[in-house]
Amino acid sequence: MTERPLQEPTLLLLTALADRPRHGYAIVQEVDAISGGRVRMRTGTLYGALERLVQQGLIEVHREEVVDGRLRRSYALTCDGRTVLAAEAERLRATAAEAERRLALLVPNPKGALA
Amino acid sequence: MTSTDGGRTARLLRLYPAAYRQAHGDEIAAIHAEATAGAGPVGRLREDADVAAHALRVRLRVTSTDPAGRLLAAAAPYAVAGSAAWAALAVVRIAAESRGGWGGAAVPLLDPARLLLLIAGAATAVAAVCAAAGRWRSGRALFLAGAVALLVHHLAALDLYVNGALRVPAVVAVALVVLGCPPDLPPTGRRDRAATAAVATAMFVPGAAMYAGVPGLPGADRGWWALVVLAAALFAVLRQEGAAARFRAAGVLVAVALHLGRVAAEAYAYDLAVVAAVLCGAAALAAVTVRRFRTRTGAAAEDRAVRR
Repeated sequence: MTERPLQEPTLLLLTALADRPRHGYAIVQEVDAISGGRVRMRTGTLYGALERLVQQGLIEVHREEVVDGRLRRSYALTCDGRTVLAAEAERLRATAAEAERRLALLVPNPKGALA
Repeated sequence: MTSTDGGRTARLLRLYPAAYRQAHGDEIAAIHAEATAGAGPVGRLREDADVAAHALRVRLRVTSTDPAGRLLAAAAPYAVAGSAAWAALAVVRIAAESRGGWGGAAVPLLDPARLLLLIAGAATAVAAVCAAAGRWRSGRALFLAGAVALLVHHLAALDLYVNGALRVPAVVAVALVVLGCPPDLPPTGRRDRAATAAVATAMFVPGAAMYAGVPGLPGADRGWWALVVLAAALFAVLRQEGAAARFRAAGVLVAVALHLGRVAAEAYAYDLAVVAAVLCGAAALAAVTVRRFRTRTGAAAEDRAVRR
């Protein structure tokens, strides 16, 4: 499995599926919420990403059902997907902790400039 | 969903190949219907354009699951960096010439051809800054705007130095590489942004110094310096193992080809192609040697550890 940091669309998509399986549009809404409205995944982009992650074995089709006469698939993280997401979360946590530690060490000098 | 919406979605789905539509059409239609429910005209148009673009990618086999799509994603940062450095050099040269710098008589900046080149160059250079800052969508939009301005310049036969028509395919090719980068694989990762910034800077700063005639440097580099930088980038990526590294190496080679296309109209283009082949061959050989040496010394260290 790759040790490279995940790209943002991939990270957001895996995060959207971390707590439970979701179908296409629910993933769009979750990504929107997780990113604070900054990332809006559109239909074609989302579908391309879902196909890629299924091919990479990070997510899988959880269930297929017919809603309003249309096929709806929900997706879930695979074990590999969970491992990759956990590793990425740990990497981000370590970076954030180090940033906070260093910021706490910063002491302003009497003139207001930063030491 | 109204019958008008249904017809619109059906028309969009027809853009996909039949087999793909049969396998995935229902699901795409369902997501599209929910995404456009209650959306305004602009929102609908964006969703429609995104589905149409995905359908085109599926037809051309350049989605993020296709090797060609991954190659375009790998090539995009180097393509943007190379074009930006080239464009920034053109901007510096035009600005200097307008002031009579670098030994020539002052040339008016308000010449339409120069203005168009200046706009194209500035847009392309700023596009690389955006890409290096992780703002790929803004960078891509600016880059394409710059490419359009450059195309207008060349097609209008306003080119200042050589026959513009010979430069058109190069501009189209680099624009297609940037446009072809799959939207779910934007080059916004740390390595991609670092590659964009490092390659663009390494091409531009010495290139500008050579144009300016800084003592101790050769004169105007005629395109070879960019090849040195790209060969160094090739060496850097080929030192790493794995499929991702191989795609990145192929991406660098695409950037080399784009650079050669950019100078195809020049008299020295053939010489430059030879230089590119020699430099890239040497870089690949050096990277393979370094990797073998690393593997051997790593294995030897493991042996020593086992013996202890």
